[in-house]
Amino acid sequence: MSGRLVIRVDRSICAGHALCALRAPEIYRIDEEGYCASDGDMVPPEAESAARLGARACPEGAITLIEDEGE
Amino acid sequence: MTIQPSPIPAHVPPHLVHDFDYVRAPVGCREPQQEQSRRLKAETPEIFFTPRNGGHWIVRTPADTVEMFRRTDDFSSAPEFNDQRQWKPALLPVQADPPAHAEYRKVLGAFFAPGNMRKLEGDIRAIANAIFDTIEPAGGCEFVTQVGEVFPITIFLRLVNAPLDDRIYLLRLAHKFTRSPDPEGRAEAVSGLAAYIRKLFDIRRVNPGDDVLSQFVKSNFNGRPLTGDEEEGLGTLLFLAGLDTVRSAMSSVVLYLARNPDQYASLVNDPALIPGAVEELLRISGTSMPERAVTHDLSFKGIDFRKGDRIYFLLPLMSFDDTLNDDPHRVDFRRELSQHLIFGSGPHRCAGSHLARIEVRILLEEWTKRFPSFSLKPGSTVPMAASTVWTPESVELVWPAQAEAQA
Repeated sequence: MSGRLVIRVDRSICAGHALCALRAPEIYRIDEEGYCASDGDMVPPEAESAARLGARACPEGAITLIEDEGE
Repeated sequence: MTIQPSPIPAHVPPHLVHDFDYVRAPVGCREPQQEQSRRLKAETPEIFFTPRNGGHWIVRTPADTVEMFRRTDDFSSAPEFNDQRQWKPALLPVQADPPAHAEYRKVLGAFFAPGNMRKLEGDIRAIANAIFDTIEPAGGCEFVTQVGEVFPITIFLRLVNAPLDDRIYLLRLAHKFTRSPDPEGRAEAVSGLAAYIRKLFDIRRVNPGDDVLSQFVKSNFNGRPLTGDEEEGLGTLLFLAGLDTVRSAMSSVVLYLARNPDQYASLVNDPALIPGAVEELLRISGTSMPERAVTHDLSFKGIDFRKGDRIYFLLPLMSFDDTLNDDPHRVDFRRELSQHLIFGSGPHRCAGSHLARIEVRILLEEWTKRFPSFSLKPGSTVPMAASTVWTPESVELVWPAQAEAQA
């Protein structure tokens, strides 16, 4: 069985485009200054394609989705 | 007026020299972003040097841009490296590099964050409809001046809580900035705007409100208040950044829809397409080409740059790079993603991008309701301006009179 996806956000290159949240608002959260606040969030299995779309929308390439290694 | 090309510096090899005047390039084009993108892709290397506008490098691909915009130690926005941007005051935060830039940016970031901007939707919708009320009875309008300029400036004056009567004065200065062929004209415009901002700040200091200028007055910068120069720089940039760019993008968007009635009808008939259409139309309607200056002699992709070299990034053309979008010249409101860099990237990504997206979305939502059918005025032409901010000079529109439309 495959693990669940975890969102990794490189905060050093996130530039606050907020396109992740524009494309997948149910997955990505934006902080008060407009930067992605979803680093470490687990992706619900039914929302994986939305999470991937939001990650692809990032012009900086700041978002990666990794398989959760735990358990 | 003919402006002589500058001599080519000794470190620039002849095979990287190509004559491209980014200010005049749109003139005579129907769709300047698309046409110039095709032309440069066919004729030039990805990075090249032009003798126009004082002599500068051009970067036209997204990957190089994202990398160079991130390397702020090498490719700086600061005026100290750029002899053509010696404005007083320096425009903040665009003319600051990290780490100082981050402090200025915090002041702006919270105000222009997506959540805070969404609170303005109702006001923006009301402003749109008030403007449409003034143009609807005539059965037509010149969009650039009657809507494109009025709409964002009205919103902006509201953001800074300045009197609407100031609109004409500010527009004149903004035009001087974006359409002056020489650095002196632009510098004069910046000084004029700074003086106007100074007056507004003096009022806010005594009587602060919840507008963006009052946020600056109340803010700390590394534990101290902003200096007068910093306030003027921040305020001046806010005016410039919100004025001609939004006008130009809106005018290009509406021009596209006027020329493509089937696609426009799809928005009228199915407003759920509008959010996707906003991003796709912004993608093809980029207006601005930011500049960086090289901070020390360096080599990038095998090209030698010298300290003080200036580089312009043709962001509006990058939307048509096939590394960003499949079949990039096809305009499709149902694209899964409309990728572009018209708001830039890296630490200087346009702070107003969230506001701009809302403005264009509301323009389309309200325009489709008010003018379900409209077109270019028969016999009219759409000249493109010679300008640092790419824009049509005029877009003459007509629509059926109300009784006719309802029949």
